[in-house]
Amino acid sequence: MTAKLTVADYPLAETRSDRIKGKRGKSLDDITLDSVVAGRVTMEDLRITPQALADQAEISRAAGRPTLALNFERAAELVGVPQDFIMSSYEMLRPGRAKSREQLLEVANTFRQVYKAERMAKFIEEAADTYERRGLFTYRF
Amino acid sequence: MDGVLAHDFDMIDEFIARHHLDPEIAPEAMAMDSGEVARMLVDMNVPREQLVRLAHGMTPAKLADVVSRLNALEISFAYSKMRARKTPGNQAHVTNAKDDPLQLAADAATAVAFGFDEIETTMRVSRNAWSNAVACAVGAAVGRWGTLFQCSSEEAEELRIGMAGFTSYAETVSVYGTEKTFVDGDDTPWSKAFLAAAYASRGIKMRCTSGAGSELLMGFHESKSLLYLEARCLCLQRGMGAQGTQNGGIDGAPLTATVPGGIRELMAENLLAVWLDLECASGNDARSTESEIRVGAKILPFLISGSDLICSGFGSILAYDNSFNPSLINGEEMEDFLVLQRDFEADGGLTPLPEERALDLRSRAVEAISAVFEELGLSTPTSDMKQSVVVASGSDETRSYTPRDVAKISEAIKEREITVIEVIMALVKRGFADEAQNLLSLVKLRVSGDYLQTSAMVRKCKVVSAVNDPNTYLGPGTGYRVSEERRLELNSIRDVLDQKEVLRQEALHEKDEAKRIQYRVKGPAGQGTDKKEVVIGISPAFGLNLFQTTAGHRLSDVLKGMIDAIEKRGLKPRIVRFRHTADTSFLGISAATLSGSGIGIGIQAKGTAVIHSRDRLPHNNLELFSNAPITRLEHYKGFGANAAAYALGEMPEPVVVPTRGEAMGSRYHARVALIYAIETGLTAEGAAPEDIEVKFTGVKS
Repeated sequence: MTAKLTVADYPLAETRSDRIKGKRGKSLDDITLDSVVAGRVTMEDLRITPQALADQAEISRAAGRPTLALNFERAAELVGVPQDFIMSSYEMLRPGRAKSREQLLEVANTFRQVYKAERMAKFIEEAADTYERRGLFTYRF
Repeated sequence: MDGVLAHDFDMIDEFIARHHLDPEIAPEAMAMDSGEVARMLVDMNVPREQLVRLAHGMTPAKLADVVSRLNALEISFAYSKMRARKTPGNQAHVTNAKDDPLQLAADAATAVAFGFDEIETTMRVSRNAWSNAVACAVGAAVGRWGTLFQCSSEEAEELRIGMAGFTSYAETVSVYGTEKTFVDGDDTPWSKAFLAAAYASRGIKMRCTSGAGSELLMGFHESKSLLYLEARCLCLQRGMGAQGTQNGGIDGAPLTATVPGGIRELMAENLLAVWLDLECASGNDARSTESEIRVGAKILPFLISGSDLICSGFGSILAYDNSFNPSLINGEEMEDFLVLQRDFEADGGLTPLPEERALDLRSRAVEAISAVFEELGLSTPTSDMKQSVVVASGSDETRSYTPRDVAKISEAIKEREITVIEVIMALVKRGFADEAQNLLSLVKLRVSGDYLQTSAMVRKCKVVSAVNDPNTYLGPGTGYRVSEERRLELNSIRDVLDQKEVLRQEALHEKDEAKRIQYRVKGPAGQGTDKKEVVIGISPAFGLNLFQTTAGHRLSDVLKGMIDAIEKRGLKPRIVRFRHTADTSFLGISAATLSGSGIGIGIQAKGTAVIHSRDRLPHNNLELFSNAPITRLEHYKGFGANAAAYALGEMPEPVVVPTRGEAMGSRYHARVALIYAIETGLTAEGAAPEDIEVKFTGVKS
């Protein structure tokens, strides 16, 4: 197992650029004006990867910011989740959108089963419990 | 927690208990005496990390209890010590009343050149979000790269604009301190935390927004204190894993400022944010007052203590163009802010910008966005539209796009799913390679995600955050200091007055005076014996290097006025130049001493004058004009007449120059000091006085 990243490895783009790769394997050095003009760069190459977020989480933890690290870890799970599902899940988490605990648990289940997003699934389950206890599955519009 | 049993927790309590409170630290932190912790906050020997660790174990009520023990000065000091990143920064609003993309690009370029680390735009018409985003993104790529950019719009739209690569951060993730307000805001802590993760998953920097007064404005404050409610908001934000916050009374600031102690409360909530180790965009955003004095007072503590982003929206444009509503500080006050930085040698994140440079950048930005619009077939602006924007100070002066024109452009960008890549290509194709590279460099930030860490900004093409630039204040000589290089930048404000400038301005009057008066040296001045003689003693530079009084009167007119008034009484004026002194009193007493009547006038080139009598002590004169900037020609005539009267043994009514409390020191002392240095530079130890023949050569004023 490789050693955990520390604050000394930050910023990764400068000190550990070998670790930074886009989704399609492009390094930062591959993304140049020439390659953009040549049509070899897509928005996919300009997206963060789960690995980069996991790395940033390690750095956050090393810097004494465990809650920020957890956010990056939840984010890492969302990288591959399609935008539409992200937005519909967000909508379901808003008050009164889900009419029952079960509806929200179904969202959690999709995260777990389809996107292997265990942390986010648990997080939504926790929300479902609280919403039920506080009566948030209610009529809003 | 805070007097509420677990089974009665509302969703905010629940979230804080689960995600903010560290059970390992809570027993120790909660047992500490609040007064003791408050003292630690202002003790420069207690390291920041120690206090941050304790905050992880404190409830909102405990945190609020601690900071409530600090007075305004202590809060400001603690803020300076506790803020997360060492180097201060600033954020601008860039908007306009027409949503005109040409102006947005020009103003974004201007804001970037002033040094703003972030710029934020929003729209008058929500459909125009995409056009605003593209325009600001292109404008902010002119000159340098690194200014982060956000387009404040509806949550889903904002995320989509971010995904298309136009924006690099978001700060509209609002949280509230009571459950009912939260629900009315149409969110929960979990939905907001979900959004926080969603932004990070797209490589977009994000901070939350909160601030005293929002619960009050939204009608559900539960009779809890503003500070306690904000402490709840901030614990929530840390629990969610947001890297930072925009707080300190944002939209609630005007309301909070009306409450006794309201401004101290706003400062306290900014302190809570940094104590909780959050990046803090420290309010100073919505204009909380119409009073300029209160505006200056509000900004000062943050300017001198520094802040990650001193304003969470400095109106870099004129107040009427600010689509968020006027900011505490607007384009109208830009120069004041720059001068405040210089006065206090405090880094407010901005650097003075010479006018020609601003015009070049604005022109370049307008050409760049026009090229992008043309290349993408969105619109073709005319040269009149472009030119009107480059030189405009605000949208009242432009002949450019209307909000309706913009809506068409904006909807086309959205429908055609244009991304930053196409914009970069368009820029390259039209010869804007530097701007294209700058825009690409900014989008590339999201690949590594370094700028998602706490308090991240980009300086000189490098990510600087609380991780690699932590605030390590431990007393004088530590923490952020203005470097010599930076001090010179802060000093480089416009219209600086120096001796060269004074002499340049005086030289403009030299020719004019040469047509009106000639001074000829007759020879050494001896003791006068004629009882009818009144000596007018002039200073070393009078009429030689300096030609007008600080009130702007020609020295020829001043001298003629006095001479005529003396002659009118049948007396004989004699002009003597002294070079052993430039001091008014000694010019006066020297003149009186040489004068046959024993009465003399001393006058400096700047117009300060005295009537003296040979038998008096140097500083105990007969009459004095000390306020030259408000001394008019008729006063000098009266002065001449009174000198004559004294010589005739009369006791005239002294000439009084009325003042209205003008702050003459602030307006004139810099100039006066420079003028006086010119005078004293011409003095010579023991130099003998000279008789001067003065000839008025006809030109009437």
